[in-house]
Amino acid sequence: MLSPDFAPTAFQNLLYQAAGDGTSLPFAGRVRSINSIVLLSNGISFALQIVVFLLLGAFADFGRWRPNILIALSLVAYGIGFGWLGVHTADKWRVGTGLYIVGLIAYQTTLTFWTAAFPGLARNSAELREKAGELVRGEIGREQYDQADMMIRSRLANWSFYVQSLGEIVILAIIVGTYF
Amino acid sequence: MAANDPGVPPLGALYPAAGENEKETDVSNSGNGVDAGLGKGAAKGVEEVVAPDQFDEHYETSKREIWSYYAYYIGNNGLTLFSKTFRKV
Repeated sequence: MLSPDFAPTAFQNLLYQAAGDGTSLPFAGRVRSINSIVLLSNGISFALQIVVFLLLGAFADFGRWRPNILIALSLVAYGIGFGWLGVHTADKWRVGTGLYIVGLIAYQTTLTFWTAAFPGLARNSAELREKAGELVRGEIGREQYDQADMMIRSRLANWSFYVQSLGEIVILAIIVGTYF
Repeated sequence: MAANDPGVPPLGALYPAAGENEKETDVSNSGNGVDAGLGKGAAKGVEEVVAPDQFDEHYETSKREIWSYYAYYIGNNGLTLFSKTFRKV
């Protein structure tokens, strides 16, 4: 799944397994502690995100490519999620590091491009179209039009969070169930 | 499209002269949905407004779209990013 709730602990578990009795592994040039590796991975991932967003960021708000970019990034994220299934032995910890780094990038980019869609969804809704008609006919003022726009955006944002929370409870319940 | 076309009144309408307000009204791109009857032929002295967004029916948000938007967020959230509850995967 796209959410990274598994990644930090799965990644750290893998590193601890690979380290065996010790607490350090060779990574990026020299032997480092597990914590250091995790922190460095985070740093690398965020540095790569800077580059990705500098290149792709504008397409979230302008042009027609946002849907396709979002689909492509979602597929990457799904692939990574399934990739974690194959990385459960300690000798594959480097693969796990790569999955973790790219996974963070995929998560953040998909979230950004998904969020960028909601003003457009609000603006294109049927209610706002009617409000625009009323505005033109002089029945309402510009302030009420903006107010309606704001209410629709709020509704979209709040409902998506609400639905997301419900769905997440179900998912977490299933996960906890797998431990028994 | 990423955003609706903004309604852009002719420049002259930005600085209305005293007593005379004439702005063009063309709210819809393709003459659909919104009332476009007030458009051309506005008489001098009648104040018309332009809606800030131009609507294209092709892009109108549907219920399905909204619910799939909500559903996407279910899997894609960072709420448990800092959760240490799950030790074994």
